[in-house]
Amino acid sequence: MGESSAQSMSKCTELTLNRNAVIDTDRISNLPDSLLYHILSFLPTKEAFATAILSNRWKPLWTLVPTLDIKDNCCKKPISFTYIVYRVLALHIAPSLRSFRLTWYSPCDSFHLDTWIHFALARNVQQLHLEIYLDGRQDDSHVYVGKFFWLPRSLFTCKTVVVLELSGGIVLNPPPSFQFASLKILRLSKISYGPTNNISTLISGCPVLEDLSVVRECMDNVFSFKINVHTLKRLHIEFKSYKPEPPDYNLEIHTPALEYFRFSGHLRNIVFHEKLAHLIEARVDIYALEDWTRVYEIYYGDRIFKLLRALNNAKFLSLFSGDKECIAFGSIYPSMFQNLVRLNFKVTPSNWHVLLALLLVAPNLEVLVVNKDYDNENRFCWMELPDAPGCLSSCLRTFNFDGFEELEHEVKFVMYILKKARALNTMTIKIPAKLSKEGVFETLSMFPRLSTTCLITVEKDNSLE
Amino acid sequence: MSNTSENPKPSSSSAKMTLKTSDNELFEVEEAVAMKFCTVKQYFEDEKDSDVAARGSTTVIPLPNVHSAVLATLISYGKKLPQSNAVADNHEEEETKKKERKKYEQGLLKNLMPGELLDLISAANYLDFKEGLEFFNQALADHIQNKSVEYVRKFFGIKNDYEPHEEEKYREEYAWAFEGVDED
Repeated sequence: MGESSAQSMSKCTELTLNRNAVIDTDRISNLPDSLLYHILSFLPTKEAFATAILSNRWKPLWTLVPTLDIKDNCCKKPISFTYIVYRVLALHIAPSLRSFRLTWYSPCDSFHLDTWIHFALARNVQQLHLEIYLDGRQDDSHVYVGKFFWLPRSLFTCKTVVVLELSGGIVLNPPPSFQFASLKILRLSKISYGPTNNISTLISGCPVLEDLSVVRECMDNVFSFKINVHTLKRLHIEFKSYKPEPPDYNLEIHTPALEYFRFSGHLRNIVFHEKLAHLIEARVDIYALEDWTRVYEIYYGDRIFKLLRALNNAKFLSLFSGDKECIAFGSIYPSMFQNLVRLNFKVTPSNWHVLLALLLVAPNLEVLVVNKDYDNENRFCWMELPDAPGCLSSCLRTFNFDGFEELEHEVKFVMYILKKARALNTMTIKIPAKLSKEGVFETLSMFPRLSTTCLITVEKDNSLE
Repeated sequence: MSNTSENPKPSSSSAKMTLKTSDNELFEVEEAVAMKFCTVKQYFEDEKDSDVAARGSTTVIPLPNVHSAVLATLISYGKKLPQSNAVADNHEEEETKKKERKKYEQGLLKNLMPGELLDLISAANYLDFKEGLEFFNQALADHIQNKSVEYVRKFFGIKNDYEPHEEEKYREEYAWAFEGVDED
């Protein structure tokens, strides 16, 4: 490293003297090797390979770039591209790989993919990204049902991998005891887990894991797993399904160091066994297909409140609790959201009371952003609780309402905020094109407000029709 | 041990440093930004450890290999980066800042001459400015991606020193690598 920077200093003197010259002198080839490797590392391997023909200076450069990005060339006959990949790997001589990315969409003997992955492992690869579909068959729910690729066992003894990203028609089959000693970031997207608890085995073999993302689109039967990782700081769970029956799962989470939690999809049983004392941000987006709600609806509200209670230490919370009515038999109490500073809430006809519940338990809330979709019928509407001491009074300084249509309960809600928030500085209302900015502004300006310094702004929402 | 700074790690955002370019221009830069140039950081730390007492903001750090116009752009880019001591933003604020930064970056790259880009890359390399190198090298790579070999040679003034038969053989053998490029 020292040598190349000394080189670059002497080269730089020449370059700065020539900076006004039109490019007819080849300055780029005078850059030090390390810089050129860095530049080439941003290109897919195919393009980096092609630079060999620029001039003799460039010929060996691509072979020492510490990244490989191999993408299946679907147009060609698979067999000849396989040959090309072997050729490329044979010519590539960088002793260690920072990143190896393999994207494969056509029929191929697993043996070849195995060999290429071995190649990366032998080069002490740090970031491994595999997206593999051995053929393109999907069922009616758009779930991959083609041939699956089984990961080579040697992958599970890799001590150097720090980032592992698996997606597509891959079967996760970790041996019963193994360790990814360096793995910090793990991303699993739409892969198959084989028999149950493979994922628990995988996660428990990652002693320094900090960032985990699990995305599932095909939820088979009952699916349970544990996430027991004391170093985990970021967790992203996405469970969606397009099947006629709703998915059922049990997720047990032990992550006392968690700072960022994101959930998206269908909410079933998620249990946090330890308090999330370091939680900074939580984002929850809940979806439910129409057909599912008949039997499961009755506990829907309970599940949402249970999840919310576990997230009560968050500073920032973004919540869309879905279209279904969440009539809760429990509630958020006794949890308080003492640290909550910013709340983004997507309001629907069925969940205004969830918003109210949150506002009542978040005495330090500074920013409230409410989004609403247009064209919703009113069912559960805003209802003001007569006695809500301390709620919103001293901290709320910013209030945004996107989707304000001047409906009766919306007006009541806005009046409530203005009446309560002594420290309110700005209120920004976004209205649909059909309403008049001036009209709405006039109406809002007439409302009594506790804050003497509040600035009200009305904007048109240009993002929708 | 220095008798001017009380704290071992100066973290005050108002502390400034002066950088002197190859054409003798002086730039006053906030310490937080200047510290992103690791060469400057190293110089500053060496100065502090030396017998001569560090004079804080009156120390002028010479950069004989960087022209003023280039340094101005690098400083401007450094200012737009997320500061390491900033309070954790939530996701939305991060997204807004990212969009603003993207817009700024696009403006920066528009109409940039190849010579200017190479100047920025060389300077960022000399200054050991990791984020700058990442950005400008990526920009260069993006520019040559999907372009034909002839275009890249012309754009950077690279002289083709292959024998014609050598080049032809290579192109034939590795035809797959030269497929699918943009029209010049």
